[in-house]
Amino acid sequence: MSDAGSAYWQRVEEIFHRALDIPDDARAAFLGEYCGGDADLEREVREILNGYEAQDRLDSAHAPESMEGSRYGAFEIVRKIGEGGMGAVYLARRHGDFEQRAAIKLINGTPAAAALMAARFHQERQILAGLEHPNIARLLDGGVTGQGQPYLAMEYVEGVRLDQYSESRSLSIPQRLDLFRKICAAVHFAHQRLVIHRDLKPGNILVTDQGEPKLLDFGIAKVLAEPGSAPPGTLTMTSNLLLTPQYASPEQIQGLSCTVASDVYSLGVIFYELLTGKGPYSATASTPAELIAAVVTREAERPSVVAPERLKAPLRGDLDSIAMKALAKQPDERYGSVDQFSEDIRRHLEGLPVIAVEGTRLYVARKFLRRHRVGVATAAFILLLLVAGLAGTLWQARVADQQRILAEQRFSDARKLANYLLFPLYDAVQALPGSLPVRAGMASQSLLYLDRLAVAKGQDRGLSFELAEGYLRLGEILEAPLGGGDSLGNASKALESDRKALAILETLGQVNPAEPRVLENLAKADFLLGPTLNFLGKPSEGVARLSEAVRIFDRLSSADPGNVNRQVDAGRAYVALMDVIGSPGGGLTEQGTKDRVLAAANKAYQHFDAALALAPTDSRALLGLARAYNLAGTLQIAADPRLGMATIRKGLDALSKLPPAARNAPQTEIDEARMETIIAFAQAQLGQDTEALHTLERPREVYEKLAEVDPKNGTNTRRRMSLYRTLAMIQLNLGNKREALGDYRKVIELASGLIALDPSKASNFVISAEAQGRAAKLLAADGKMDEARQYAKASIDTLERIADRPDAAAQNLSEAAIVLMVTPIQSLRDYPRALQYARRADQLSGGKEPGAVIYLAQAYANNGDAAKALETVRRGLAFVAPAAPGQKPSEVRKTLEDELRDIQILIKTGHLPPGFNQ
Amino acid sequence: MVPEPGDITRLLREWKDGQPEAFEKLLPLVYSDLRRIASSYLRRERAGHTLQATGLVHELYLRLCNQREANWENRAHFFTFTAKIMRMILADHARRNQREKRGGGSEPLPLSDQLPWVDLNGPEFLDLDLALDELERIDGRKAQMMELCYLLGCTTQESAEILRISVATAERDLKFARGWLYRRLRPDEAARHV
Repeated sequence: MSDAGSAYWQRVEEIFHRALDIPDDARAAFLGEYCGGDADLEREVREILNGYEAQDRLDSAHAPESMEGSRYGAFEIVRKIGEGGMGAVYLARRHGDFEQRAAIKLINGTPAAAALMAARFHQERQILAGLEHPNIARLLDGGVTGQGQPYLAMEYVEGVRLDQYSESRSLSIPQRLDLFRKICAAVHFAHQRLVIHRDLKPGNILVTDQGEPKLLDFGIAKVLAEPGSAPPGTLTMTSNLLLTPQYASPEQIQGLSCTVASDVYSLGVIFYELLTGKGPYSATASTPAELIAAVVTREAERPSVVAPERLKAPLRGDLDSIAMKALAKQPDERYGSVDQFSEDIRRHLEGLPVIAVEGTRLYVARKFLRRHRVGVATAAFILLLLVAGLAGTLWQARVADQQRILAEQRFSDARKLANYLLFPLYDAVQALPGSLPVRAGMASQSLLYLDRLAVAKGQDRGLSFELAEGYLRLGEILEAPLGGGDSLGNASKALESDRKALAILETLGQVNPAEPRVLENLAKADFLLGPTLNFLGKPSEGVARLSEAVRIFDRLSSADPGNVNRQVDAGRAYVALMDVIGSPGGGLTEQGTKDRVLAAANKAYQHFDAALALAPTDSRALLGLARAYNLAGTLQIAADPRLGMATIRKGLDALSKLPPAARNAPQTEIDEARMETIIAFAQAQLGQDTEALHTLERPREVYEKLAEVDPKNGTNTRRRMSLYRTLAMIQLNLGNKREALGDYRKVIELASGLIALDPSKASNFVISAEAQGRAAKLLAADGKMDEARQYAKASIDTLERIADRPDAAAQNLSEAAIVLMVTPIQSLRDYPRALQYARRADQLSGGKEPGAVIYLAQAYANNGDAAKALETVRRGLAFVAPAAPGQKPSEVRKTLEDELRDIQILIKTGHLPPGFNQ
Repeated sequence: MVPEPGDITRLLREWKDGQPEAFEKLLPLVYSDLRRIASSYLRRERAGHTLQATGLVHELYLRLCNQREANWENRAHFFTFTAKIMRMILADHARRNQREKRGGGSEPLPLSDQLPWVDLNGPEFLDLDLALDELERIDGRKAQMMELCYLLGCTTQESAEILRISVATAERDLKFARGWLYRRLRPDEAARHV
C-alpha cells in the first residue's frame, strides 16, 4: 500500500473528492478520463466511492430511532430535555391530554436490574406517588416498556437550578436562608412519610419563577439502588456517587446505612455552598479521588473561612456552627432531623441562641478523625472499587439485614467478590511494579469484606473454610514473614486477619478435631500467625503458635512419609520456628536459645532432604533448605564466622540446584543477594574487608535494581538499609571515611523511608539514630561542624523520641542518656537530661541491670554529683559477683570496678567535688 | 468549572515534566469531555449488552492512571491518546465477546451513528481495529479523525480543532476514510456496487 506522502494516495484522494461532485450516471465516464487508463487506480477509487455510498444507504436504514412520539406508559415523548446521570430525560405529555406534562427519565441498565427496578418501584410506588407537597416534584408513573427499557415519569418542573437561581438574582443571605428553609420543609415532609431522598444536590433542586423550590428525584435512589443483585458495572446509585461525591455523606460513600441523617448531611453541603459559593472541601480537594477521601476523613473548613471577604462577617458564628453541625462525620452528631436544622436557622434569623454552638465543642473535642491525609493511592483505590462496581454489591449490603444477605444470589456474589479481590485481582495487580500502595488499599478493603461476610456466615461450613482461607491469604499478603515475596509491612493488620482465621478454624476444629483439612489449616494459621506475632513484639506467643504448627505438621508427615508435601510443610514450619526464636525480637541469642534454633534447623534439613529424596528438584524443598541454612548460618556467624559462612554457602548451593524457572525468578536473585550480604558480614568480622566489599557488589546491584522498579517496596528498603550499614562498617574498617559517610547517609535516607511506612517500629528509629550518630562523628572529625551538628541533633532527637514513648524499654532510655553525654557536638550535650533518662532506665530495669547502673553512675558524675555516682556504682558491685579466687572477674564486674576507680580519680584530681550535690 | 485550553496544556506539560499531581488536577478538567464520550455511548445503549458508558470512562481513567511514561505535547495529543485507549478497550471487549460467544442473538451494538454497520458485539470491530492500524501507517491524520469521531464521539468541528485542520479538510478526510474503510472491511460489496 502507499503512504500519505506518496503521490498515488494523494491522487486517489483527489479523484475521489472530485468524483463525489459528479452526478452518479456521469461518474463512470469521469473516472475513466481522470484515471488516464490506469485500471488499478480506477478500480480503487471506484470501490472507495462505492463504500462511501453504501454507507449512506446503511445510515438511513440504521437511523437512530427518533424518540418523538414514543410511548411510555400513559405518556408520549415530545422532545429531549437533557442527560442525567442515569440516562436521558425527555419532556412528555399525557396521551390525549396535552395539558399535563411530565419528565420521562430513561434508566440504563441490564435486564436483571430493570426487572428488579420494576419490582422495587411497585413496592415504593404507593408511598412515592403519595408524596404530595408543593415543593416536591411528584412521581407520576414508572415501569418497564415492552422492549425492556425502564423509565420513570415525574412531574415536569420548569425552573432553574438552586445555585443558578440564587446567583443570578443575587439573593441576600436572609433570602437564601428562607429559600433553604422551604427546601428543608419539603425534605422533612418526606421524611415523616418515611422517604429518604439519598441524592440531594443542587441539580435536583429547581426553583420556579415564583421563587418556589421543587425537589426532584425524591426516593428514586432507593428504587434504583438494589444491593447485590445487579452484576457489577450496572449504573446504580454508586455511579452517581462517583459523579457527584461532594454531596454524598461519609456513610453513603462507605456504603453504610443511609438514614435521615444522610439527607441532613447533603442538605448541609447545599447550605454551605448556598452561603459561600464553594464546597466544604474545595480548599484541599481538587480531584474526584481526593474529594471522596476528604468527605470520609477530613474536617471541612468553616464557611466563614472560605467565603469571599464581604461574607465573612455575617457567616462567622451561628451560621458557621450550623453548617458544621450538619456536616459532622458521625451521623448522630448532626441534627437529628431536617426540621431541627431548619429550626436552628430560624433561631438565628430571630436572633435567638442556636443549639449548634454547644454541639460544636463536643464535636471538636472528640477528634476521632484521622489527622493525616489519605494518600491519593488509597483514594484512587476507593475509586477503583466504585468503578468496578464492587461497591455496589457488597457495600450496600446492610449488615444488619442478615436475612437478605443470606439469600443465595447476593451471598455468593459477595463471596465471589471477596475471593476475586484476594486472589485473581490481587495477583494481577501484584504483577505491576509500583503497585504496593494500591495493593495495600485492596488488602484493607478485603478485610472489610471478609468481616462483613463473617458476620453473616452463620452455620455455613463451606463458607467458614473459605473465610478462614480468605483471612489467611490476607494475612500472607499483608506480611510475608519469611521474606518470600514482598510484604506490605502491615503487621498489625496481618495479625488481625490471622487471628480471625484461627478463631474460625478453632471453632471448626472443635466440631471435628481430626479432620485433615482443619488440621492443615490450623497448622497453616499457626504457621502464619507465629512470625507475625513475633514481628509485633509478642515473641513468646509466636513461638507457642509455631510450636503447635510444628507439632501438627510433624504428625502429618510421619503419618504419611512418602508424601512430599507433608515433608515440605514440616520443613517450612521448622524454618518458621527458627526464624521466630532466633530473631532479635523473638528471644535472646543466648546459648540455650541458639541451641534450640540449631536443633530446629537440623530437623528442617531432615525434612527437606527427605522431600528431595522423593523429588530431587522440588523447588519448595530447595528454597526451604536454603532458608534454613541461611538462618542457621546467620546465627553461627556471631560466635564463629567461618562456620557461619560455610553454612550459608550450603544454602547458596541449594539454590543453585533449582530448576531453571525457579532459578531465574527474581525472588531467587533476592534470596541469593541476602545470603551474600551475610557472608560479606562474616568476612568483615574475620578482617577480610576487601573480600567483603567485593562480595557485596552483586547484592547491591540486585537491590538497587529492584528499588528502581518498585520504590515503595518496604522489604527491599530494609535490605538495602542493612546492606549499607554493613558497607559502612567495612569502609570504616578499611579507613575509607568518606565512603563510610556516604553509606551512613544512605542508611539514614532509607531508614526514614521505612519509618514513614511503619512509624510503630522502633528498630528503624534506632538504626537511623545510630547512623546519624556515626555520621556526626565522621563529620566532626573532618571539621564539618555544621553538618555534624545537624546529624548529631537528629540522632539525639530520634533517640529521645523513642525514649519518651510510654512503652520505651530500659535499653532505649539508656541509649538516649549515653548520646546526650557523649555526642561529639559539645553544645548538644545535656547532662541533666541524660541523668533523667538514666534514672528512668535504672528504675525500669529494677535497679539490677549493670548496663543501666553504669550509665547512671556516669550521668551522676557528669552532673557533678560524686556522692550519688559512687553510691550507684557500689550498688551495682553489690549484686555482681566478684571474681572467684584465681579467676578473672566477669566483663560486667570489670566494667563496674573500672567505673568506680574512674570516679575516685576524678574526685581526687578535683574534677568532681566530693559531696557536692547538684 | 470551565477549563481554559491553556490550563489543560499547562497541566499536560507539568505532568510530562514529571509532576504526578498535575495529572490528578488534569482529570477533572477533561472529565466533562470524558463524560461526553460516555454519554455518546449512553445514547446508544440497549438492554442486554455489557458495555457501560460510565464504566468505559472510568476504565479509561484507570488506564490513564497507569500510564507512567506518558509523553505528549498538548491537548490534542491527549485526546488522540485517549482515542487510542478507547480503541484498546473496545477491542478488548470485542475479543472477550468472541471468546465467550455470547449466546446467539446478542443484539448488535452499532459503533456510532456514522458507522452503524460496525457491530461492537461482533468480530467486525477487530477487523476495524486492524484496518485502523493500516490506515495509520498510510495516512495518520485520517486514522486519527476516525478515532476521534467514531470512537470518542467528537463532532467534526471538535476533531478539526484537535487536529488543527480546517473543518472542510476534516469533513473531506472523513468522507474518504469512511469509503476506504468500508472497502477494506467489506471488499466484495464495494466491488459489486456500481
